[in-house]
Amino acid sequence: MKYAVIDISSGGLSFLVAAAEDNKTEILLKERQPLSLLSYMEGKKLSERGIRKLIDALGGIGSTCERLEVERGYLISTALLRRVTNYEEIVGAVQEKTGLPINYIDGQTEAYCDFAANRCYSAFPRAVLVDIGGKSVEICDLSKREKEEMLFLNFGLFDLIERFVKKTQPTPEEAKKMRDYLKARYKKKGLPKEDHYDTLVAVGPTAEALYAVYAEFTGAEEEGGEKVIRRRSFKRFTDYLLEGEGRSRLILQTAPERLTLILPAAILLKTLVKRFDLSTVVVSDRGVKEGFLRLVLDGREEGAYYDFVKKERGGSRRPSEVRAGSREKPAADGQMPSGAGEEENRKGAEEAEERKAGHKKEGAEKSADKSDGRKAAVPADGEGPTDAEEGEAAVGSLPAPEGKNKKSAARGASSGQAKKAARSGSARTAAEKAEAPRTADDGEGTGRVGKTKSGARRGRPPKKAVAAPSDSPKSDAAE
Amino acid sequence: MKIGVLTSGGDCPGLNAVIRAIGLYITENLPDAELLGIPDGYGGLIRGEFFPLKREDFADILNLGGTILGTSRQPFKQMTRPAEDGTSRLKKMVDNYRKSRLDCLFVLGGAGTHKNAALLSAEGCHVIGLPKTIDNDIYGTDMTFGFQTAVEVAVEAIDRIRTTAESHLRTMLIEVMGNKAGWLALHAGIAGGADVILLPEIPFSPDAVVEKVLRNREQGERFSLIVVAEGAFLSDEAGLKKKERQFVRKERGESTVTPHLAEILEERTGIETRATVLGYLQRGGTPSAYDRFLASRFGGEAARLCAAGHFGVTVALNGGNVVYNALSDIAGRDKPVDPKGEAVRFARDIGIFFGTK
Repeated sequence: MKYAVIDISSGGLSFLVAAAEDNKTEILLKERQPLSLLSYMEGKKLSERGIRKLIDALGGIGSTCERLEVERGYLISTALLRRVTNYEEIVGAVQEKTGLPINYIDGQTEAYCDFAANRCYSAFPRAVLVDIGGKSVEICDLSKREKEEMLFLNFGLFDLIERFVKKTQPTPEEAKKMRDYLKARYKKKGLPKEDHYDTLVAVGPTAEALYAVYAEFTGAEEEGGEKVIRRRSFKRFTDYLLEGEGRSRLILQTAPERLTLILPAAILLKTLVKRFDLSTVVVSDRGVKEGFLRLVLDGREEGAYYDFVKKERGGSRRPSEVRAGSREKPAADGQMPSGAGEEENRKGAEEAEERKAGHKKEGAEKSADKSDGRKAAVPADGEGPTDAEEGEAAVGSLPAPEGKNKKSAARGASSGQAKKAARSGSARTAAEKAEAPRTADDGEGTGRVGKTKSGARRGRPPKKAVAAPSDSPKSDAAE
Repeated sequence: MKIGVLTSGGDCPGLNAVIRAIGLYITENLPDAELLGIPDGYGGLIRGEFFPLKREDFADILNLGGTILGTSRQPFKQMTRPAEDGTSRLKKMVDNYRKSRLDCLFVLGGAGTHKNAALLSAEGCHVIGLPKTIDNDIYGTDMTFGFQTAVEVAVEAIDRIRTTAESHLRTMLIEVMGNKAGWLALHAGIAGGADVILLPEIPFSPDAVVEKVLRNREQGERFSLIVVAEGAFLSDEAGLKKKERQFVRKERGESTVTPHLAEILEERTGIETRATVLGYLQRGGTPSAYDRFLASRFGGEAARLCAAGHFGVTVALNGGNVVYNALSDIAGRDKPVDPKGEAVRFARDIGIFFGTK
């Protein structure tokens, strides 16, 4: 059966189409449609124009789903619509015009989906998963299992922008205030510091967009199929985003729908990298959609869907909180659901071992970078932030692993298998490549240059136009 | 409130109608606001030149072609490159915007202008765009102002050329504007009764066009009309990059495919073949009634958005309604003719040939 999962985020719509059969899942298509929904907000409501744009975009995706013979389509919404005051109006309009029911994903479930999609990265030693969202930041220690050891911070990029950014991009002073704020929040939350993690895995569409802009700036290429950000070049990149003259052009060429989010995202990521003292970040191309689909297929999540064949709705809308205690025996970390083939496990084991070997090399290089020869400490069980603090909650229960030995071949096999299952067919499709930003051109039209003759027409500019005043009593800060 | 307005890129009918509508809205609804014209497009903003626009300057320009503000081309790629004095054009524009204490800047232009507008918006300027082009290739709007006038000019020309073609039993090629998108050729070709329409979106086979012309003659037609978009190219050239294609044509002493096709047709069909390039006729002159109407609506809506403090957007026509899109959503995106779309399909159904089998 073919499934589609569509995610509404601030920068637009992203969707995937996957074929699931015999416990194998193959991603057939991943696409993104830029749509700056924030530009259509009127106060805390999405305007009629915004709703219309959303419906038109969903209609286009629906046509694609029908063309690809998708049977079930799930529409999920995370950060943006969480705090929109006319959410029910939007749900009703979307459902009426497209048939798609919106499944609201709260922060806890979002983190859970991220984890489910990226369990394979638990093969990396001491990895932490970070989803930089518009309204929340999920931080999942991939070596942990217990509910209270997973975090989400109840502020995101939109909140940072609203709090610190007056115009479109933060000024250096605003960026500093943002950094100081982030450091204080991390400290308050009790986030671990150096020697706790070796790898940060960044997930989410904003992280992917950030990597795209970073890669465009640095010329970085994927390393062994992974998108890797190096700390030193990332610092140079962030400095350029702050004050480089071509920064807007860089972002507009690469990720225009996230124009206002890229720099705050870079600042946030940089503060995390500094806190954890990491030299590299891996950017995953799997996130909420992949995780949600996986959990639905596993029977661990429910959701309302649109049946493209029967042209009717099915399933049931998600409850607002994650269900607990209603799942079948959980799979081991990174393992596919029961019934997964042995061949997949074997191939997955090979992939996971390759990744571990590659990461060991990275770890060795990182150790070589450290002048004091510190060794990474292994945290005691149960160590980590609690969810006791105001407004910040732990993620819902995660499936307990069957085997706790991190180095077990089964885990290695299953993490590789999970990654393979999510990856197969997910090599960049032509659609994704076509989605890459266009190159700038030299201007519009035919390129025929010629000045219009000035004539004695009413309203023509005077021969001596008035120049802008060189001194303004009003400072930039006051504007 | 201080509001600036500039027109950028190629001129087109309706620019003055837009300026008028903006001015009238401000006069009627924001009597304390000051409207400033910026001469010669982004060039004027780079130089920091502004002049006041009073009611008497714009009240009677509804049917005037061209732009009272003047225009220029400022390529997007060069916006962030340092000039001789070490400062980029973008920085100069942003600085002048701030120094002049503008509260809003209206930018009337095409795709390239909108990319630059998005840059200004990204740097904190309050910008509202208005989609201007005779090519109708701006993403996110059903129609741009200037397009309908250009279609009417092209169709009038085709009507005239038809009579001379029939008199002389000739094959006539009419080249219209449309470097990247073939909307003008498509609409003018259908409305003008063309036998063949050649678009940039559909690389064509000269052999197939030769066959079509010969078939026409066999069927008793006295002449053939072929409307060619200036950006159309041979299917053999499809693998070449734009600059490579231009080089090949330059070697032939041509800038478009039209003369080359005319030569092939005459040689292989034995039918006298002539080509007419409409050129700037399509840009100039008084705007049509529809373009005056659309331009006025766009200008009024843009001014309303300014009054509401809604910036970083560009007005658009969608399903008969004037709406707006985020600049970041449309910058860098265009709207080519869909070769499998309804308009081309319908045209094929009534026997219009697009150069491919």
